[in-house]
Amino acid sequence: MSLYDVQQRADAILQKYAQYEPQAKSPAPKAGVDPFNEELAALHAAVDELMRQAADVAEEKSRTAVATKNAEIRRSKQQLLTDGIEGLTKKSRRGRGVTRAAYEERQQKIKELVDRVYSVPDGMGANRSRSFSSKMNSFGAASSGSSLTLSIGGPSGIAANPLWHKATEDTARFEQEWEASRARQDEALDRIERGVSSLADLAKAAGDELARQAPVLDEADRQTGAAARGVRSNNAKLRGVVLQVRGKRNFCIDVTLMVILLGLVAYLVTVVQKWQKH
Amino acid sequence: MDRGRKLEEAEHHMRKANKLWAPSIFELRLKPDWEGAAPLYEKAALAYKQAGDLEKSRAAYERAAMSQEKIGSTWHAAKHLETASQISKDLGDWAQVAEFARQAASAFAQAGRPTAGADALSRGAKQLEEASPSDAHALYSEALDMYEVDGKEGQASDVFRQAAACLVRNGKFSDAAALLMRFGQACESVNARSSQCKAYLGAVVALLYAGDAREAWQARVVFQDALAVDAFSGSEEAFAADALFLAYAGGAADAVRGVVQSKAPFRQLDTALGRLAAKLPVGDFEPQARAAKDLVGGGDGGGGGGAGPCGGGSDDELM
Repeated sequence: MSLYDVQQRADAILQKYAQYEPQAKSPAPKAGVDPFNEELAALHAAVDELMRQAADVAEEKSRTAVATKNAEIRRSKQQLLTDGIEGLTKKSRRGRGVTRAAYEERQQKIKELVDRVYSVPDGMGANRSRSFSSKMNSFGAASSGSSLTLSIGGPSGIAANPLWHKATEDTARFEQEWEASRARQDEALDRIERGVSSLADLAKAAGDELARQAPVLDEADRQTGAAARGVRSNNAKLRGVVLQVRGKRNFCIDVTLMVILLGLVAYLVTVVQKWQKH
Repeated sequence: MDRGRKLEEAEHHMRKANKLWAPSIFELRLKPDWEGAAPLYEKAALAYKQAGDLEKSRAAYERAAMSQEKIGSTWHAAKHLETASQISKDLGDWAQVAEFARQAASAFAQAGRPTAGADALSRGAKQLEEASPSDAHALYSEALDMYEVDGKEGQASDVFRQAAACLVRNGKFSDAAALLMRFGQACESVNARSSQCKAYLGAVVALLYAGDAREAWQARVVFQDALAVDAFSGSEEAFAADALFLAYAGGAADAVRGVVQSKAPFRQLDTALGRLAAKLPVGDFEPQARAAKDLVGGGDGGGGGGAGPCGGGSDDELM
């Protein structure tokens, strides 16, 4: 079954059961009325979700699950701090009836939101450098979280925390396993490389032999052609000779001479018989 | 008494053939009857051989060859001479082996088949390898010359390999290297690239096996000459040879052994040369390492600049 078939069948099934899909969400609010506050509300809701996830993590027993979920929370926080706050900052200047005071108020709200985001527990501890304030000072100059920034002064943000690089038992064991399996793979690849190089050598030798035999075959072809031409011309000559030999005139002459010879022999026999009688 | 009967039969044929050779007034024959004598001599020779009398068999084959030549059938004469050469080998008469092989070759050449003549010489040389290597080498050279004259040196790869193995076994490494370079050139004419590259690598290995600084220098020169050939300059064999020289220049014998074991082209050389490569380095390593270092590091910058292996396998300064 090809991918296309799978896709078609999935579409058919979805269509069949579309009636059981959950109802569509409530219609989105009219855009352009108050983009800033809408965005702010959405971001607060996202932070609430993160808080809930952090609470779940606190109850989790398995350390790997804890690590995974903490990493997820950190990632979401970083995304909120970069994309979310940046978008919010841009929208803080838009909207109807935005006075200076309203603008100041909006900035305050954004700061509160940032504090709230930072306060979400993510297993990293409280001593984090707040590098975001520097970004707030330059409107529009904040770098997007998805693009790559190279800093000469060393790692910044989350990576500047020494706990980020600390190895735990799990990571050390994982690293050992990885090294062992890499060594096994290298060994296997070396064996494959030896086999493939032998095959390559055999193939090249076969190619060389074919290259060597090609002129031999060409020569043989040429010589058989010459021999065949010679045989054909000999056959034609032979045919001519045979036709000549079988020609009517020669045949008549042969027959006549044969008759004359027989006549002579008969005459000689009779002469000898007569002589014997006498 | 089968042997006795064979001998009698052989003697009988021999006598009859000898009579046909002599002119006779009785049978109104002024010239020898070559056509009649030839098959009789052949039968006699075969019978002597089966009876085990190799000397007489050889003599009979010689006469058969002469008769065939007189008839004008030089091909058959050549075949008989070659058989005589093989019998000489059984008799241990090495000088005659070479002599008959040469006569057979010239008869083949007269018959218009120089390649067959060269084959006969190479077969004779193979038989002489153990007993008389210098004669064997001479015969191999003559065989290769005949191939070249006929323009068929591309088909002579087996002869080249046997000759090189013979030279290597007898310790003549420079001659072996020269022969392998000639082999490389012969392969060029038929586009046998893999054999060509192996031949050049083999030449380098043979010279390095000689085990002294002068030969090591010569090896590097040979390598640079070979790099002028397009087919070799980008090949794996060229990289392997370059790595070998770098290992020598590095001054550590273990590095040399490591390169030979890790690089596949050394494993893929012909048996005799592969054995040499496995034993590298030999002799006094220090002078060879110094010579290699001088060549690879210093004097090679100008010479290797234009003709270094493509991809920059060496650390020469490339212009």
